[in-house]
Amino acid sequence: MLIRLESVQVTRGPFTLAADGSFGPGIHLVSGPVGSGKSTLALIMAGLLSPSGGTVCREGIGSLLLSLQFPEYHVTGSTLAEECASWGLDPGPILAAEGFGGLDARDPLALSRGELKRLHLACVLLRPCDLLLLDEPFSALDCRQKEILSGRIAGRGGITILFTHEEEFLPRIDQYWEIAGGRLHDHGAGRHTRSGNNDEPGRPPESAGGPI
Amino acid sequence: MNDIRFRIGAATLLSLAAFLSVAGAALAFVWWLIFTSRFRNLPGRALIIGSLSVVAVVATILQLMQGTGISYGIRMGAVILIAAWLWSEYRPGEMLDFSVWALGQRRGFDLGLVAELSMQAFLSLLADCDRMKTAWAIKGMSLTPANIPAAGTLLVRCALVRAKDTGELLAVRGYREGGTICPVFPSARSDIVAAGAAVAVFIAAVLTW
Repeated sequence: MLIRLESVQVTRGPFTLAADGSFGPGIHLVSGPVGSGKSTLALIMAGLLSPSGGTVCREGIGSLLLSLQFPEYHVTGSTLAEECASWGLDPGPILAAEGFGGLDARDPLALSRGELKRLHLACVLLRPCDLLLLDEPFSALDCRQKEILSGRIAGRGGITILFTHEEEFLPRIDQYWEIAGGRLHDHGAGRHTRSGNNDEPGRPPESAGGPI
Repeated sequence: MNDIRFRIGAATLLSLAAFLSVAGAALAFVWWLIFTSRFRNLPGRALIIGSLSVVAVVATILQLMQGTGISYGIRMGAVILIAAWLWSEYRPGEMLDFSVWALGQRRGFDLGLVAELSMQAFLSLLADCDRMKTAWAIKGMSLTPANIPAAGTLLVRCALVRAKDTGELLAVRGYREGGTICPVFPSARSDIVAAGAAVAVFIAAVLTW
């Protein structure tokens, strides 16, 4: 199971992005400044955007799923139950587990951004897939929810790629990447952050899903 | 065109020329071919093509019923192409510059701000549509008549949230009315040539009306 970027190029006006690299099973973290192209790269890896050049090869990947940064755009149901069902899931257990029991008929857009993000991620993570791309999954979540999400991400198999600025609440990362200067850089298992802290390669998490 | 004053002036004259007569519309179309980048760099291309398609349908119906469809189609088609060009050349902040230049720091600033916010809202709406299409593709869904109410609700909701955020931001920054801005207009010799040609098209349209 592998997704490989071969000389991928994106050019849009003054914006450029070049990416080469292979993403195998495990958890990958792609960081980079705002506007560096993280979301664009996520769309390209999901096959939802064609690069200006190069190819994206997926080997042994039967299913993939992309979670966009803003959960509102994913909403297609007019009630929480319909929204869960639109992901092909049984609404009852999910709504109960996420604290929305008895609110089946509630409008998803009436939830706060954090609540909607939590429900959206619960649906996404319950869908089995070989490749999971999460664009800013920790945004709008509080510390407790970030910990819970980290635990859930750590517990899944296949390839998981996190496109995020988050540096405190993360699952154990197998490979670090950074978009800088219009290019995707592979930092391997050693952490590379702008703040320069927390850089022990392959350090195990203090607790499953807890802050590292 | 670099200078929005020439651009708005030319677009106004060309639209009037196209509206006045078929000859004016034909000349406006020629101007569009010569002085614009045509369909290159055009945001919301689907919207333009959709608008032209609607005009074509109405023109066909008018032609069949009253025999005036061809004239209508040519004139409206030219107006839409000019409007599309004006839109494609827009750069954030220009409407505020133009409005303050034309109407002053008080009323001009307010009108320019409204125009800027409207343009930004429209561009955001187009971006929302793109993101929704992406999100639906992830779920394996496509736009159907059954989905339209949900899509429309989401677009309106997003627009209202953004408007509320902008309103609060302006209030927090102490905005009440008017403001101070020093408009700067980059210009070029080609602007004068294109604007002169637009004036000539308008005069020709009036003379042949």
